[in-house]
Amino acid sequence: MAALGPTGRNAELARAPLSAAPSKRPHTHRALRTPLALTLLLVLVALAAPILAPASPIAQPDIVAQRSLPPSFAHLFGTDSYSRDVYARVLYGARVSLSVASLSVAIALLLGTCYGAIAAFAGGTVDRVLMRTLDVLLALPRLLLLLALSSFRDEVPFTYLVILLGFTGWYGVARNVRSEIQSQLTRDYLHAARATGVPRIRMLTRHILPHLIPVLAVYASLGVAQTIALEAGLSYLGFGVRAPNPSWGTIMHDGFSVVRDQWWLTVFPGLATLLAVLVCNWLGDALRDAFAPEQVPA
Amino acid sequence: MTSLAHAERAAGTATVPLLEIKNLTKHFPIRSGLLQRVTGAVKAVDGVSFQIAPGETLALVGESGCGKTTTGRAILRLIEPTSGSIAFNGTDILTLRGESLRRMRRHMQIVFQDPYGSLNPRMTIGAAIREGLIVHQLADGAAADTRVAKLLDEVGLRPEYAARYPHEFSGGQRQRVGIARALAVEPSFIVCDEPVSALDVSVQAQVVNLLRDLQRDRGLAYLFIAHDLAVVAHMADRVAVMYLGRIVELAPRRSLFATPLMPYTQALLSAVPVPDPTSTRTRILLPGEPPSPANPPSGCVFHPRCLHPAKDDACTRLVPPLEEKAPGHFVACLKVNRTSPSTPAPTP
Amino acid sequence: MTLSQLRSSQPVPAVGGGPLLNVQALHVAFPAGGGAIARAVDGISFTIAHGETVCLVGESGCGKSVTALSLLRLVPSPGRIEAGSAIHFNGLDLLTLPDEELRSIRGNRMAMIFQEPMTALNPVLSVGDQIAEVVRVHTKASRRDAWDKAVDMLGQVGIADPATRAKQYPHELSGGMRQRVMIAMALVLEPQFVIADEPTTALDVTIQAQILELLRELRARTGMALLLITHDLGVVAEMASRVIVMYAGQVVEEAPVEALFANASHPYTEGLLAAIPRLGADQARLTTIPGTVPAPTDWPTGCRFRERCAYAYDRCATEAPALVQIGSAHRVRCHLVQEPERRVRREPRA
Repeated sequence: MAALGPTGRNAELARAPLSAAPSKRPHTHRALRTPLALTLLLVLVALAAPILAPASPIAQPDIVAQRSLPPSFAHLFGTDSYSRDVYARVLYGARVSLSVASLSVAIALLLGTCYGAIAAFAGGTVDRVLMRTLDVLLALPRLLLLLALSSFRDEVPFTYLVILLGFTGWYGVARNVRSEIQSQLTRDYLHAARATGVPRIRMLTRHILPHLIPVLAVYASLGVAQTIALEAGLSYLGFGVRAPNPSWGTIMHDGFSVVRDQWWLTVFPGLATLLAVLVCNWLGDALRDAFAPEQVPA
Repeated sequence: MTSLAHAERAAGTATVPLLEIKNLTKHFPIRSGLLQRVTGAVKAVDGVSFQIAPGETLALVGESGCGKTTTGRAILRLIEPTSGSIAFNGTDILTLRGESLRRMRRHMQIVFQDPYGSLNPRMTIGAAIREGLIVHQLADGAAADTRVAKLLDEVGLRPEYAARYPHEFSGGQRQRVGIARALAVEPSFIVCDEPVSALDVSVQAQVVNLLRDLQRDRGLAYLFIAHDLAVVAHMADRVAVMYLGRIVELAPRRSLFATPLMPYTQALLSAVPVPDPTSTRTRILLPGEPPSPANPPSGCVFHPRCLHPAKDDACTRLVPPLEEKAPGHFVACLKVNRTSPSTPAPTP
Repeated sequence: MTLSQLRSSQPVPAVGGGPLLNVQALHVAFPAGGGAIARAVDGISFTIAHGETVCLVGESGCGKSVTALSLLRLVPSPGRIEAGSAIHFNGLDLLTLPDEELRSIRGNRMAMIFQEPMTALNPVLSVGDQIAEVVRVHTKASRRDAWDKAVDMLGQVGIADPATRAKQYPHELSGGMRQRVMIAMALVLEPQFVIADEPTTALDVTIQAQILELLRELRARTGMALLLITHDLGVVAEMASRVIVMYAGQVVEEAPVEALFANASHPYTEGLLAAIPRLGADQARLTTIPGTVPAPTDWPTGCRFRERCAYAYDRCATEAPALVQIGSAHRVRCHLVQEPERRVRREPRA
């Protein structure tokens, strides 16, 4: 009655070819292509500002004749009260806004991941203390904190702003990283890694971190979107990056008092901010969908 | 030395056992209250002792909550035992720490029950199998790839599957990957923690045969944890029955299935549905439910549900020791006499 | 209050002599990505008589659970029951019944016991409330009467101290007790037909024995028909009077239980019976069915089992076999029925 034949044990075994084609890696998902492309475009525009801009963003060629001109072919976005070309300023402003956002988000991710990982691995009292501290920090309203801390300096230097934004933006990341690592720690495949004799460092880098990448990627894009908007707001209120290097918020700040007559001073940088935030949010959402856990067959 | 060990020596398994467990205990503290004080303990494993010889399969059977999975994991120190000793090839592994413990892990591996949770979804199966080779410096680079391919072939999967991810495989195939991963470091002992419970009948048969063949080819010893006694009948040399954290019966396979002595074992065997509609076997139906391991009954832990005709007050007071009642056949029951089996419990 | 007094006055058209349940050409389709369709259930027909116990047996992916859900029109979307399928319960066409009337049948005349009681019971309601709810939805009973009925039912399913237990929540009960609660919920209105989807798979073997005994008792007392879905042939041998074996969305064999175990005709049934581990095995090697169940998108042409079949021959690849009667109440879907001389064991491919 045995089903052993001339080919022996192997005849019984599951040699059928796998039905599906090799599974798509997340970065090839269709839905990601457009937002990814747009984000890259955004970055390219910022980098290529010197080529794309017709004039210098800080030059004041003719402070009498060329000031406060509405948009025209010569000046696509018009000029401001110092006769600076707004189009150039918006293009160069992209650099400032994007770099402030990316750098501060990078700091936030690093801080948050370390904090969350320590809490998750330590467990027990350490974990409890860290999490309660986090709760307290989360209770402080970020905007007010930033305003308060920026008001100490008359001119907020670039680095200071980046550090401020970074150090106030890591709380959510820490929470998520901690819970993600905690849920991993109960899985059998980590027990298997331990049983195999994998040392802890390698377990962290090779077995656990790959699970964090989706969380971090989503946080990064959504965080950048949020920070662009936040920085624009701060600068608009006068607490952010100052002249001469304009960010979008600063440009809007300059046009604040004349928003009705010289609408081009606020509308164009405002639109740019809106576009950048939308693109980054879109990317974040698409990443979140792409990294959805593989369906487990029933 | 326990009477168990004396008897096993006498029975001819006189070589140094591969694995010797003595009084293994694991209590999980129960915390409650504002300050999370320890108010009690779940006695998941409560004084378990046995030996496994090289190349032998000892089956550990019991129902949910009996502590068999905890025992298996405690032996590998995936869960830290509360007390007891675990001697592997003479070395008490509970005294090992750090690097020496890590190196010892090579010799004792585990196959998990849940094929869907035991593989890291972010690693290819080839990478998962290769981990053991890398961390124990057994091979790397192209040599490692060759060994992975050989292992995949040995468990019945195509070598080119090494680049695929776990979610592309069925449950049975994932179990094979788990087995390949355990074999990669060339252990001499594998804890099989319910390896086929989650699989369909036809796939289960394939995997059981695979485990048997591998054991024969490589001389592996298994601790085969299962709740399905029929599967155990195909795998085990000896069988240990657990109930509420203790071993209540331990015997060679034939003895256990032919003449189960402990009332719980009798009930367990009679409860297994027989695939024969004409069978007239009578059933022993145990009353009630297994009690909670946080609050085990006094004396013999089985006494509240026991239907033995001679059950009396002593059963509620005295904890029966695991003693040899027939050659090689150990039972923890006050009412089973030596060398004469108890009369089977009546059906209600 | 007796049950008949509690039961709502919905008349049930009695169809003299006909089967209780009549399923014809049931097809259930699920979208399979890329516009393709996977038929989890591909043309199933069977009947169940009043008071009969039928077991639906098969392995994962054969479509047995989906079949059960279709009977109550509970197929989860995006799956849908395709046109051309027919399900008649006591003469009523279930597939065209308006929702209101279907709801009055569900739980009342036809009930379902699910596999995993922890997920099928509502965690925020006491078990007594959940059973009482079934009573109140279908009858005009008052809250007090419904509660009393619930407590009574809990006692009938073997739960000690039912009055106290009824106030407890699902998470406070053990697995075996939760399954008894599910059974109480399903049987409280004494339905004519109960579908049990793997009711004991998640339970320990001694608890399973208790539950199966309970089902037998209730069956004897109420005369209900039972469709028991399982993969465990031991349970089938204990409970069924008739067995339907499914593979890849189709019925491959249907027979009275003794005939199935003694005279299995389809190679898949034969393989399944041979592959079951048995208590008396004495370390024997298990017989296996080579290969694995194909996904619905990968069904081979002709007979779906042919790639794993030890007897497959050329006709099996070109022509799909039909379900053929081979004995009283014994039907098989296999070419070998008509060409028994071709029944030669050979090694299956791959």
